[in-house]
Amino acid sequence: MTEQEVIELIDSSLAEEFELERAEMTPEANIYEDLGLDSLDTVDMVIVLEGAFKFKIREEESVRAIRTLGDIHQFVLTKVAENS
Amino acid sequence: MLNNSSYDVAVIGAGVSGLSCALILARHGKKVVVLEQHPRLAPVLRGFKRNGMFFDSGFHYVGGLGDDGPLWPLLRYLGLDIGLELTPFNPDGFDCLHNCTTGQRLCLPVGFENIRMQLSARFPGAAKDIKEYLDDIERCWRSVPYLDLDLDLNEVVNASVHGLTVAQALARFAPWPELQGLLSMHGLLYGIEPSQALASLNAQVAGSYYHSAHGIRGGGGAVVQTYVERLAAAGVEVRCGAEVTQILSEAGTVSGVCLSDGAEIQASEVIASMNPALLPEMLPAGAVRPAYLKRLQGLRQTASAYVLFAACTNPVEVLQGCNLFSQQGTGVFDSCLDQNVEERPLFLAAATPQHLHAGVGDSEDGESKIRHGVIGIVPAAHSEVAPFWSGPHQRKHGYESKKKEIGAAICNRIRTCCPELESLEQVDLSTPLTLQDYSMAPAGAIYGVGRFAGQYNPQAVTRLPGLYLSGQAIAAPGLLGALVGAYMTCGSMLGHDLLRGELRKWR
Repeated sequence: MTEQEVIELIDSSLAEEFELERAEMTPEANIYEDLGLDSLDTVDMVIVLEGAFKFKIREEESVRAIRTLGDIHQFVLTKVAENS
Repeated sequence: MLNNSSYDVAVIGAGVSGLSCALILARHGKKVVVLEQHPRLAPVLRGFKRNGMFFDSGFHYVGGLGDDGPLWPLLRYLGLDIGLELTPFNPDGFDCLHNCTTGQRLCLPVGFENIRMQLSARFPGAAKDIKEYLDDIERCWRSVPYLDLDLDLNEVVNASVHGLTVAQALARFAPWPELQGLLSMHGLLYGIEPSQALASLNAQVAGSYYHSAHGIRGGGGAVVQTYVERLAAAGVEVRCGAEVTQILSEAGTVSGVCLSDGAEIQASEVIASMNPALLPEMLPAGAVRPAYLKRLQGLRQTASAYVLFAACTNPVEVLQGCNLFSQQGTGVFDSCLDQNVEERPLFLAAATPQHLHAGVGDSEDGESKIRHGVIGIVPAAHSEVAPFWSGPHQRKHGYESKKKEIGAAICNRIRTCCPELESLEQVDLSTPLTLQDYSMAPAGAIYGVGRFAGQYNPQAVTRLPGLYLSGQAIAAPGLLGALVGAYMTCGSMLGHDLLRGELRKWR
């Protein structure tokens, strides 16, 4: 998977599962303030990413530190690189 | 039909979690109604009578109630300890692993220190690992919210679901398969294969019994009676035969529920204590995001079971204050669902723990004689009896003879393995279809949604403001798990600091 494909899979999965507008999904978008997710959605986000990429997310600290969509991209890209 | 009744809280489901939530909230001045679709409350816990004998169907024994037991404050706070008579299980062997092939028994004494000593003496080569393994369980079995009233809740919320499995934790005991069996047999009490169950779940369930094991005189029936008394005293309204079909919302917040007869009940908050897989179809359209809906729909359920209710003409001393976990071979306890019922593991208990209930039944020659109840539980797949389902409490032709056949096979297995129970005769059998009718769990899952490794079970708080979940799915199975679940739900509503602070006074 190229970097672009990974990002596309993240964005399309989150857009579908959280009913987000693709136009608002910029890397700078704050997932809580701009995209309207809350702390309860974090677990669902982890489940969506685990399902899309077939990896297990154990990095609780890193997940808690996520603020922007770009943070999610970076987090997943790192994990995909580790697993390949 | 329009029902103008209005409540602070409507609780869906009158099981242990739902009823406990109602009591906790009533204590905090809330006007509560409990809605149960079954004609009677606590349909699984209450047990039933056949041939003059009482059989428990949802309760067999309870852990965590010995000295310093962490379950005490949860009971005392609700006045549930009053009137309940505990019967301690055999301190020298409350649960025994039984090898059906050799007839050998290996028993667990009550108390971590006693278990460590006995197992180390029996398996000297494994002594160091046994100590480590049991120390771990002793340290963590009560490290859950409301069992440990001083625990930092943030640690729990963020606990990983990808931890060590029971099978992995027991791999170190491979040279001692009997020990692996003994330490994994409590999997029958949470319904998940050792390869898929988290060691932390096993620690919570098995650890509570390692700590202490008690029966309750009168079994689940006595527990239900105590609930009924406390609910009446607390002014909680319980409506049976009230099937909730929809959760209602207004302006993005819960506003009540709708029943199958069209009646609407207004409530500012709703607790859904039934199996969470049933929730999606009750939710208003668009109330929660697709990600959450999919998560609820995709939750894995525990295995189902056949439960044999049987009677012996002779006293069953082997089950006095002791349960048997029987397996055909040795090694880690697997449910063996791909094999015949005779080959699967079996949980055997006296019909009412410790104090054997001697009922008077009618024998064939018209004379009455004393009989002693026995309960046997064998893992089962819903698919084995699914063809006989034709609706709730309705079965297709052939179901009764299928039941007799399965019951006879289980009776045979018991008589062969345990010659002491040679007079055993089947009284009745419940199947996955029965469990489905009484618990409403999809596919008759005996412990509902399981805490599988890798599965994120739902929390009490949901994305729909005013809607909360409760039940074993958000905590753990059993009386203990259901009570913890109730406190977790009410803590989310009232404030955990407040509720835990109050509970500390009841330690």
